[in-house]
Amino acid sequence: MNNKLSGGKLVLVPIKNLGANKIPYVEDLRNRVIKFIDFYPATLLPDTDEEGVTDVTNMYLSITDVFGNEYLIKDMPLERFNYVDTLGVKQSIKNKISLQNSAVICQNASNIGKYVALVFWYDLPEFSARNRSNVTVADSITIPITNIIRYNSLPDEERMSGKRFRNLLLGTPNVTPDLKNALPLSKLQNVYITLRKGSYNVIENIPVILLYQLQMLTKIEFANIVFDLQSSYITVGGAGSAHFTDYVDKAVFFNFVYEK
Amino acid sequence: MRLINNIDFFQVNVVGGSSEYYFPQNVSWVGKKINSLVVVGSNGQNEVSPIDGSTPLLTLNELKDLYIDLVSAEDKELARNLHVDNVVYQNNYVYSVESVLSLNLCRFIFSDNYFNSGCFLVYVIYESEETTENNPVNSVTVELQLQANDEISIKEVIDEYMHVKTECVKGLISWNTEEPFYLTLRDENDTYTFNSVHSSLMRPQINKGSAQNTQIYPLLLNNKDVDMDNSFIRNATNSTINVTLSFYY
Repeated sequence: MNNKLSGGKLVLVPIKNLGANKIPYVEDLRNRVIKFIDFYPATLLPDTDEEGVTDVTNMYLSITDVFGNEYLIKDMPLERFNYVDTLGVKQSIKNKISLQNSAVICQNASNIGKYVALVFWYDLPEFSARNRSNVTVADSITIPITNIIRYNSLPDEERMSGKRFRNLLLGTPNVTPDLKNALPLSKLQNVYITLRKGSYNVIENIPVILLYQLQMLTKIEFANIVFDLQSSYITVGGAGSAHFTDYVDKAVFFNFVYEK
Repeated sequence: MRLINNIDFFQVNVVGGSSEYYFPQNVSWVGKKINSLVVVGSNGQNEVSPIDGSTPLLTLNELKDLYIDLVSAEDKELARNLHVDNVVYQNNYVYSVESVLSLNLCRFIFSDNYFNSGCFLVYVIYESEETTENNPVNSVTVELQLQANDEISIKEVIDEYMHVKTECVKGLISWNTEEPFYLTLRDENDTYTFNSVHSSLMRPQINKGSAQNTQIYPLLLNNKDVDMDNSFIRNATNSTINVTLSFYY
């Protein structure tokens, strides 16, 4: 199985007690092959004002196979999944898993009442494809943030419609090519992207910072995924508790790479 | 990994107030398939241009609002406003071009009004080979001091520090990335093989934290015909630097 990414989904695991905290059931991930899992240490989370876990000391992750009777990963320190520490080298899963039998094990009392943000990268053949060409085109897209409590739609760039995307490269300029002030890296930690095809979230609430690939040790490659720009959006975490003036009237800049 | 067959560079002189800079056209790589472009700016060590030895390199922070437009030889757009992050030397996987370019239509653009003068370097890697071969395993590391704007021939370095046949050198790594230099390799006819390659292109990849996780990707030379007498290392700054350079053979 290759390492290309196709589907991605953010799952929030509530930490209610010391010991095992079950990962909630997510219908979209049922019977899917999970390729990689990333832990995202965020204070502010999308669509909720609950606080996220940032301190990974004494936090562990256990993942079972699809039948729930055999561990694929047992008590692995959460920091091994932390993109900040791994610099993009993802922990490989490449199996169907049982979410209800998998758990985050908490031995750190200060994290009780918070949420662990896990990104599940899963195989999504319905919305991805094999390469037809080696030549790619890099295009740019500036996504203006107009509010912090609702969705900020991607601009409908006609030239990118119907394309098969190979990479999403987050950029951190001060000023975008269309002369908007871009969010600095520190604020981008709190921005999430959802890419939709029809009514399906191909990429759902993925922290944009996971797509900042400047110093990553492995190359991210998407498997020619498809999505509609006009129904895709970015959100600011914290359900309104983020500081309004830090975000509004600023923009997030991407280079989208698609097959020629 | 890529075995470097051909690498060339050009310097973009940035003039305060101007935001658009086109690629040079009188270059050896016209009509060649370009593998990748690597932008090099200063990492804060007061580096100067290898061409005139005086024009300062702009810092990476000053290049933060730089974008690139690339157009193929068939006049098809290959990159529109590609941000400099994706082609800057710190990026372990710079953007793959893999096309012949229409140079008169390719350009750099600053989105912000920029009023300092200086330059940045663009290294063009073209018609090189992808390889899955392992890196060469034997290496010798030399440490030497270079005075401001000084240069030393590779032959001197090798005679003094190494006991391997000079034609066997397959790759290079510069460990002291905060003390930059330029490497020029020439053959016996004085033809440039590598002209003023900045040491940042020979840097190691170091994983955070643990020495055991250090990953090494030398700049792999593809069996180039190099005359070490005619090749040299030149200090890129106007102060004394300590070069730590590994030769892989």
